[in-house]
Amino acid sequence: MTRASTAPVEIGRPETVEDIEPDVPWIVIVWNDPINLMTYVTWVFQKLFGYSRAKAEKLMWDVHTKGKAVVSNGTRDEAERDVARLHAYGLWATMQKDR
Amino acid sequence: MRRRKGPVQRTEPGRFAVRLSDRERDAVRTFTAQLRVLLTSESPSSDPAVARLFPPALPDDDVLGNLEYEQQHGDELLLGKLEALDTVDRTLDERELTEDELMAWLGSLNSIRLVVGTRLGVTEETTEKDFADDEREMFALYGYLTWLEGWVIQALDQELPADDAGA
Repeated sequence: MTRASTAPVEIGRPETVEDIEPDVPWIVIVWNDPINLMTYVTWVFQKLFGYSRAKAEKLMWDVHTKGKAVVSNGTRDEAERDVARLHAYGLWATMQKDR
Repeated sequence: MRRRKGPVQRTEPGRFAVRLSDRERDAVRTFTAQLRVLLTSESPSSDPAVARLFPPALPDDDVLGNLEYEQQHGDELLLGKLEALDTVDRTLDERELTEDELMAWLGSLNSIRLVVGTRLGVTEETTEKDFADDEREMFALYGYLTWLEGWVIQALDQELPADDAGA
């Protein structure tokens, strides 16, 4: 699998649009990469989010086979916090509006 | 979980035995020193391997958003990696580690693999045959780090709470 370098264009909206749509949730996406180990990715999902082994493995397999998976969602601040925690563990994570 | 003899093993809750030769510990020490130099002398814009350690949080076209994220979290992410390296260097000759110490090992080993793997351009299909002699040794070291990290993960995995409490 290769690195996805671009993301959908529709999320680069002006801040004013976010301000008048406060209820649109944000999603956190983890992308596949060829270096992080599958066992490591599973462990990080369990450790960070408290997910069960089964849920963490399902998400890891989605990342591995589909190229990405949505691993959490919430307000913009919550999504940003999760992205930063995933980056601290070396996972390749981004956030975007769920639309 | 099945127990096998490995370089890193959980001996009791929160305690981990490390069996590595002096040569292996020196190899890890060399890598932590190199990563420290890289983190303190290069930036994501100057080095693709550093960029892999500090990826953008938002799509590439959201320049302002990514700048704000970097301002908000860049320092704490860098500090976290440097502190993990400090812990590894301080405990590299130990025969027993705490969970926090071993997690610092895991984070640092993973950062080193991300840097080396990015440098080598590894893919999921990469084999030794893909490299000329001068890079083959680096790929072998990458393989060693992968093997060691795998054992660290297996050991730390046993610290996770039982599955029925999960989401």
